This record gives sequence, C-alpha cells and structure tokens, in this order.
Amino acid sequence: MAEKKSIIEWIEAMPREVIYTIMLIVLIIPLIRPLGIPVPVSARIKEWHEFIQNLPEGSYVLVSIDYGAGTIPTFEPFMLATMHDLFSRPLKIVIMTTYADGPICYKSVMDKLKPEETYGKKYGEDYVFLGYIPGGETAMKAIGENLPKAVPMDFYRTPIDQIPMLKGITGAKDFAVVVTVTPSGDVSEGWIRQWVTPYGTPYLCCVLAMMEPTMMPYYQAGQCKALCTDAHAGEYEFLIGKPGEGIKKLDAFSLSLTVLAILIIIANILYFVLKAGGKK
Amino acid sequence: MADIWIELGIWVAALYTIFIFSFAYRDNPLFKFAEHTFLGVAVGYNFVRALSAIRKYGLDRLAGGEVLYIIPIILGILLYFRYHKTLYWLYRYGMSIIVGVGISAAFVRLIDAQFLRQIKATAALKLVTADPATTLGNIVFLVAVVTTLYYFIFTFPVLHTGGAKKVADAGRWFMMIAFGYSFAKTVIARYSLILGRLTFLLYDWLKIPR
Repeated sequence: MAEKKSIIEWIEAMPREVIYTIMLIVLIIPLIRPLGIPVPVSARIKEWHEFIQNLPEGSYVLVSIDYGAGTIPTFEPFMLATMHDLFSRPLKIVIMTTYADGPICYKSVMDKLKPEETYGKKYGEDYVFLGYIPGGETAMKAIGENLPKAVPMDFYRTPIDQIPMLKGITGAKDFAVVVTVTPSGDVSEGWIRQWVTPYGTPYLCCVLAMMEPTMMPYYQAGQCKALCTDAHAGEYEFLIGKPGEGIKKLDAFSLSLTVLAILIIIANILYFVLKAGGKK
Repeated sequence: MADIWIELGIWVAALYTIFIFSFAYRDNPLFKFAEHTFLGVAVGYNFVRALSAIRKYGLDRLAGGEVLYIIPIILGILLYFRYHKTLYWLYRYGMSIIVGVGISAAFVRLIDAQFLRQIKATAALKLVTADPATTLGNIVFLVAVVTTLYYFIFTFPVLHTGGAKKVADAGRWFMMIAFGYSFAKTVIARYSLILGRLTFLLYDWLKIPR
C-alpha cells in the first residue's frame, strides 16, 4: 500500500502543468469579466504624455517602430497610444523602423489609428513613413547626419525631395524629439549614442519591462526624457482617454501577478519547512 | 469575400497560437510544425525585405549614377564566399568592414554616452533633499554604486579580506537585488506576451464581447 503523502509533500510534487492551468484560468477570467481594478497613472507615463503635449506646434518628431511582428502583442498597445497622443497634436511625424519586419507593425498600428479619418492628417504633409532602414546603429548615425542622403525615398518609393513635409529637413538637428519603442538594448542605447549624445535631441524610450533596469541610468542621467515599458500601455490609454488592448489586460495582469506572488511565498515557506524537517 | 479571408487568417493564427502553447504541456509534432512554419515565414519575409533594401539603398543609387555604391555591393557579395571551399577567406573583407564600421560608429559616442554622463549624473546627485523618501533613495543609490564598484576591485586582494570584505559583500547584495528586480521585470514582460495572445484568442477568434 502506497504511503500517504502529507499536504506539503503533495504540493511539492505538484506537476507544473497544474500551475500553468491555474495561471491560465487566472489570466482568462478578468479578460472575460473585468474586475474593474483602479488604474493608477504613474509619474513616468505622465512625463511621457506631458512631453508630447508640450512640444511646440509644427515640431518634427521621429518615431522609430523598432520592434518586429513577434512583439506586436507586447508593444502595439503602447505604440498605438503614443501615436494617438502625437497625432492629436499639430506635429510633423516622421516614422521609420530599424526592423526588417517593422513595416508589418507600422501597418498594424496605422490600420487601428486611421490618422486621416480620426485626426484629419494627410500623408506627406503631416506624417510620412520611411520604411525599414537597414544598418542598425550605423543607420541611426547616417539619418542623424543627413536624412535625405541616407534615405532616398519613403516606403512607397516616393523620392524624399517630393515629400512636402520633408523639404528642408537635413537631419537630427531638425527634430524636436526621437521616440522609440523597442525590445532591443542595441537600439535603445543606439539612439542615445547617435542622436542624444552628439545632437542633444530629447529622447523618449519605451522598452520591454525586463530592460527597464538597464535603461534606468540613462533616464536618471537625463539622457532619456521619459522612460516607459510595455506594461505602462494600460495607464497610457487611460490617461489619454483611448481605451484599448492595454487597459483590458490590466486586470488580468494585476490578478495574475498577485497569484504569482502567493505561489512564490508558498514555495518559499515549503522550502524552509522541508529544510527544517531535514529534506532538501 | 474579404471577410472570409480575414476570418480564415484569424483561424490559422489561432490554431498556430494553440500549437505553440501546447509546448507548455510537452514537446509535440504540432508545436514543431508551428515552429518550423513560423521560421519559414519569418525567413521568407526578411529575405524579401532584404532584397527590397538592397534595391532601394544600393542598386537604385548605382543606376542613378552614384558609382561609389559599387563598393558596398561588392563587399556584400564577398560575404557569400564563406561557402566557397578555397576562396572562403574573401568573406573576411566584407565582414571586417561591417564590424569595423559598426564598432567605430558605436565606440566614438560610447565613452561619453555610457560612461562620462553616468559619472557626471552620479556626482551631481543631491544627497539631502526636501523630500525624505528621495533623500533616503539617493543615499541608498550612492551606497549601492560605491559598494558595487568596490566589489569589482580585484587588483588588491587585501580589499576582499577581513572587515573590508563586508563592503564587497554589501555590493554583492545590491547586485543580487538588482538581478532579482530584472528577473521580476522579465516575468512581467512574459505576461504581457501571453496576454496579447489570450486577448486575440478570446476577442478575435472566439468573439467574446470586449
């Protein structure tokens, strides 16, 4: 006859699939039936929003969609909220990407944003998409030095000198801010090296939550005017009054992290109980 | 008609998402199928985009009379000599230029951007401020910087013995806390990914009201 297991031993031997299932349920329930957990707007997201709102009329903004199709679920809510914020103002927005599959992300964002219908913006006069610019950091350097020379035409193969809003634009010194949303450390630091350091261009950077500690020194040193992560998307949507995917995830996010914290505490208690009992 | 294609696309994406998630149970042929399809599509797409970039930034300019663009095009072609049994050494010329240009572009600004400005910002830190929480934070920050730097002084072994070892130990603790914070943020980033797929499955595929 099998020896009867104690609760501690039973929990300890629990298959990981059970924990996955618990987490899945915890994630799905709030998505089907929102719990209405309050949305606190952090100071960091306010800084980002206020920076955009305080840009002088007619300022040129470079937005680099520096993520690929694989991270659309992660970054698109934040990117979309940023675009809403930017397009709601009288700014000249130059969009590009350093990712080969970045144009997919651009299309996905623009299909949801609908700049012509929602904000009355006109392609070529209020915004332009330069497409994928290969070369990574060398591309950032090249467009900072001489944009028309580095990028001969936009994504739709219209020569740069035939795009009204780009007439007279030479490089980084003409831009009031550079905005990037990226999961890459090379990219987030590359803009600092190639635009912030030589030209002093203000920089707004949104990175993966796990990259935040790496970017924090730049933010604290003032090289980054605002630093946010993909996890801020819900707060941003709430702040600008454009509820989207980010805000829907917040309840699930909060609840699942709470359950995760409880599981961590239980696991640690079990560890010490078993250790005290002489088991490893 | 367009709706049928959109719906078909949603179904394909949903099934592939489930195939990929099935790995959480264990490795299986459906996961492998989805993985290989994803890789194939990604490589195919990137190949086409790369060709488009070569045309836009190289061939068009060459055709427009900018003859110097022949140099990067030749250097690019040289990279493929890597697969040649005897002339493989030629690829090193292309590679050396890529590495050289990349490093020089980054390194010129690196010292200023990632070293000097960080030191300046730390040196300019005001230890005492009107806000007690900020004051405490700044003091902890300064102690963390000093002790962590101290931990990495290996030139003088005596600095890691006796009472002085406690300073290095404190630095190690600060690093562990920082790594823990980074790991926690990694978990948050992963949640963001899975929530993205779940919202797609629930709202777009299963049509659950938003």
